[in-house]
Amino acid sequence: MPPIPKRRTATSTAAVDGFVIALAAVSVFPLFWMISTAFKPFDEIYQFPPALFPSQVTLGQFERLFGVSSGFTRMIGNSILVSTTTTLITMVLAAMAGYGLAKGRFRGRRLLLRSTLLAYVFPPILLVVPLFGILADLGYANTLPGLIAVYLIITFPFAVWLLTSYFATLPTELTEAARIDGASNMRAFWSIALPLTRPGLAAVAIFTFINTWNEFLFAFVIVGGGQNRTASVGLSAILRGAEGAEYGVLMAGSLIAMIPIIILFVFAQKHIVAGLTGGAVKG
Amino acid sequence: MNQQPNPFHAMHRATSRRSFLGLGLAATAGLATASCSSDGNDTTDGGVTGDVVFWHPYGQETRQAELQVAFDIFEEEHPGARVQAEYVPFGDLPLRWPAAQQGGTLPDLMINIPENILPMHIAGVIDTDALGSLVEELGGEPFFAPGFLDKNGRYQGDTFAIPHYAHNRLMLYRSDRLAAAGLEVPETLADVEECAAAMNNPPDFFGWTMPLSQNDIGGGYLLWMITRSNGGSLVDPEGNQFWASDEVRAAADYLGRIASQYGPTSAATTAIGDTFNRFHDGTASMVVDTAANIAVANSTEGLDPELVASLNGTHIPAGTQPGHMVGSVAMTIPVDANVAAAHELAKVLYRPEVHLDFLLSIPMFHFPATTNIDTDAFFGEPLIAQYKDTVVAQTLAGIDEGSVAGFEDGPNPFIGPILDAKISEVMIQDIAFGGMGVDAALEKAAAAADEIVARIQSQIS
Amino acid sequence: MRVSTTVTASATQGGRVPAREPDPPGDRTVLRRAGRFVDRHFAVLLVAPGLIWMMVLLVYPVALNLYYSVTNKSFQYPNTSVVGFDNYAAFLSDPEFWRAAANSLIWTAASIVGQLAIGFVAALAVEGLARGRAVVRLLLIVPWMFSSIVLAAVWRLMLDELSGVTNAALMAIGIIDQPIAFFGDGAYALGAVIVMNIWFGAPFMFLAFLAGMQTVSQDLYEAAVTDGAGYWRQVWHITLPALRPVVGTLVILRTIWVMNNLDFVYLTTGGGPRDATMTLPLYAFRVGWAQFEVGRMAAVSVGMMIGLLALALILFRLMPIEGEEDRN
Repeated sequence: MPPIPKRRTATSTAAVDGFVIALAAVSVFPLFWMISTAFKPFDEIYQFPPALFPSQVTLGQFERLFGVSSGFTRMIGNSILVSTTTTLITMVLAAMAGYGLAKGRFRGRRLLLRSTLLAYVFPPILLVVPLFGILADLGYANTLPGLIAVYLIITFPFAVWLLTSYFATLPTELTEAARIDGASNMRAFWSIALPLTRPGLAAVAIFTFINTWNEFLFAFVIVGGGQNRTASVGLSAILRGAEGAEYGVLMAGSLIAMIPIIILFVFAQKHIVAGLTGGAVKG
Repeated sequence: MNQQPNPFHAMHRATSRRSFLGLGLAATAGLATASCSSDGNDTTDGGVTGDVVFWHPYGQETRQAELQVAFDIFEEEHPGARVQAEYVPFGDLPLRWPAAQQGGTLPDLMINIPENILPMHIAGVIDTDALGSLVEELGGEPFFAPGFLDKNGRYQGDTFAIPHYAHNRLMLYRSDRLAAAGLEVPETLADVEECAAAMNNPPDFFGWTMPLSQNDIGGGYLLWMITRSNGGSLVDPEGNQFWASDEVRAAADYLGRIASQYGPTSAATTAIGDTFNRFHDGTASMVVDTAANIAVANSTEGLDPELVASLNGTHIPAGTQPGHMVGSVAMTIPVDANVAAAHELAKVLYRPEVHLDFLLSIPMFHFPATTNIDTDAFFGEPLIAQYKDTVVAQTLAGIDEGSVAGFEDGPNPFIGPILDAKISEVMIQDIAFGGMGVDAALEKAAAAADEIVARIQSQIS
Repeated sequence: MRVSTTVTASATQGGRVPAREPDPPGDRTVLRRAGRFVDRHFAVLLVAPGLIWMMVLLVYPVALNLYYSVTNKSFQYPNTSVVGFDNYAAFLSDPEFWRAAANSLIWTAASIVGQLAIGFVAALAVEGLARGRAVVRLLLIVPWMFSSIVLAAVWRLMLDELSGVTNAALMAIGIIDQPIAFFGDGAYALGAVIVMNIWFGAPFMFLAFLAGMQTVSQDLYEAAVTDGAGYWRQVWHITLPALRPVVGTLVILRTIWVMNNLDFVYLTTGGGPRDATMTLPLYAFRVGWAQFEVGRMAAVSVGMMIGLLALALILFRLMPIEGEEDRN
């Protein structure tokens, strides 16, 4: 009998195992290919048929990546700064707004939630130049704070949606009980609702971090070509280089840039599922 | 046309915000300078202070190192000034400058290609007076290769771009495969077709790999070059387009035929830059590219030395003439720049020894478009000496005779939009891979070109 | 039934919380009043900062582009004048636009359906695993870690006609004897970018489905088993309905994201070969930005925005939105 679709009673069969293994192989292969290419000497990257593994492991691509004037180390640092800060700000603002939208009862709440999501219908390329103009007027052109301020367009709507649905699953009795005990709304939010929302917040953190870490267009226009470049801007310059994409260097750079994301996923991926489920896990 | 004085310069709405701020800063700086002078500190800097934002397209380590030398000299001679260098590759500029114009963050000095700078000039964001006076300070017309400025850097009398270095497009070939096929170095269009056929062995390697990606303007460049070889033009500076001419038709037919018979299908996603990889990985027997292609092969570690030794090049195949396509990598000064500092930095970059070191930073990548360098030292460089009679000679011939794409009658405001609309790439692909007849493909392209020309003329008038 | 009403009811009573001694005069009154104000309008005050920030970021650029769309605004030619709906007429009468619109629909629909299908099957399979779920889950979300630049670069490398590992593998197995230019051949290009997008997007759907499956009560399955329902009947009648709330919003969001996505196509095929992968954002970019014709680009984008809004409104009707629904 096939497995009952519920994990606690799962009984896998050879067919399911095989299918999952195949799926995982397709899923992981490009990452493997990236790693393999990053360590290959130039000739092997383009040879046909290609070798699965480098005949000899070379670090030449990494040396070029971190060449004295490449500034790649600094770009990684910038990316860490921007992604971390954006993530924190997004978490705070989205937690507030999510709670307000889920538990408040004012007119137009539903409309607000929906229109937040509709922020994504505006093509970023149309937004970025006028935004750059505003930032420049305020003195934030080519700066990381300017970029962080703008990243909220990308991160906030999704985070609000996720947290609103999360807060909505919290039993209202919890906060209500606090109110009856004379606690202010602030305390009900801060001391009772928020701690229960940790998985949701963790999921928001992951989504936000990865989206800002990988973002290219806003970073490209807003921080310019100077020392505030982020890693994705640096990688795109390698991909679109005038002397052709240096795939070896690019793969080396991609690998380095992906390490923080991999670490984040390894430690936090279980929260994503919990975060998306909200408090609604049953039985 | 009633374009004198140039009406494009009338509008400075976006920059006025910065002018206002700039005025304040200038006043402050002026006070500071004045107080310094009153201390008896007699600097002859002429106000060379503050940050000099410098956009350059030089990604490679070796080239950046030579730039750094120039920055160090500049900063040592002008202790109050500091260079803020930003890497802005050719492809990034069209996205970059409109934003910078809106934000008032244009650089003080920049290097890019005239094709990209002309739209900036038309938009009124190039300070042609500052550039004109820089030319004078450098020594006037004779400082540059004869005729080069007029052909590639002046529009309606205004200098908008002055060459930092130059190069020329060549027909590069694998001499080993050519020898194996028992063929001579190709001179004419027919020769090249014969060579492409003889050196075509798919899927291992192809006769002539063309960059026809719609992300790039490689197809437009090729079409213009072969049209020039036939003695024709795509569009003139008045906006007359010639897609219906015999010269363009012959070029389209030629390129479409070769791409389909002796080129890979992946040409459709091959960008100009990919020509490097395609030539260096052995899958292309011929490509159209600059001497830089061979220069990079010689400076890349890990390439097969025999392959590298077999790379050579000659001029673009000739019909009535070789369709030389010059590349000018040029300096310019945007409006509201720190002009004094920009002038000084530019002059340091052009200093004979600084400039020579830069030109040789990747040997045979850059060719001089200025007359002040030590030619013995330049041509004595081993790689350049090795290719003296072939690649080097043909590059110099092109710099002398040719022009930037579409600038055969001087800078042309129509060519950029026509190339950027990717009409040519789609047309050549239609003929090569889409089974479309040459006439039908040309008709479609001509209609698109007409629309662009009409739109620009409505904007100009 | 809306549970949240009760909370709001209590929120509006915030002012009547136990009466204390009369307010002393001076600053403390102000503070206390402020405190009471905050408490009374707590929800609105919480929502305000983020939303205001969003408004600040969006209103000016969107308004500016609405204006641009009825002008001949160009970055290159500064003599801007209002041209009415000429820009709209221009793209609506351009066959290229309609071709791009058709491509966009195929690209979006196929990508989303593919992502949903793979994501769902993967979630079912992983739920069925007896062991190693955590590891498999991690492996299956690897594609999500890729940025568009890295994604395009790796796939270009893998699908290359002349040196790609995909061609090598297919030739080794004997499925093909000549390499295929997946991104460069008109017959394959759109399919190739869609497959790439499905690979990239399926993990997100997979996680959502997985999350949704956790919300289904075990009792339902047990009852179904007692009733003699087979595996697929359980999936159809119990699992799928339970997933709708989670998936509804994701489908809407994904539709907007995929429809608006410029990078994937731009970085792999550039819209080629012969416009075979030309989608609307790329079309807007090409007729507009690449020509510095901001007015034209704005018009195409406004057109797209209207289309997307309409689509989103329809989807909002069809799909329940999580967080707006009573979940008990």
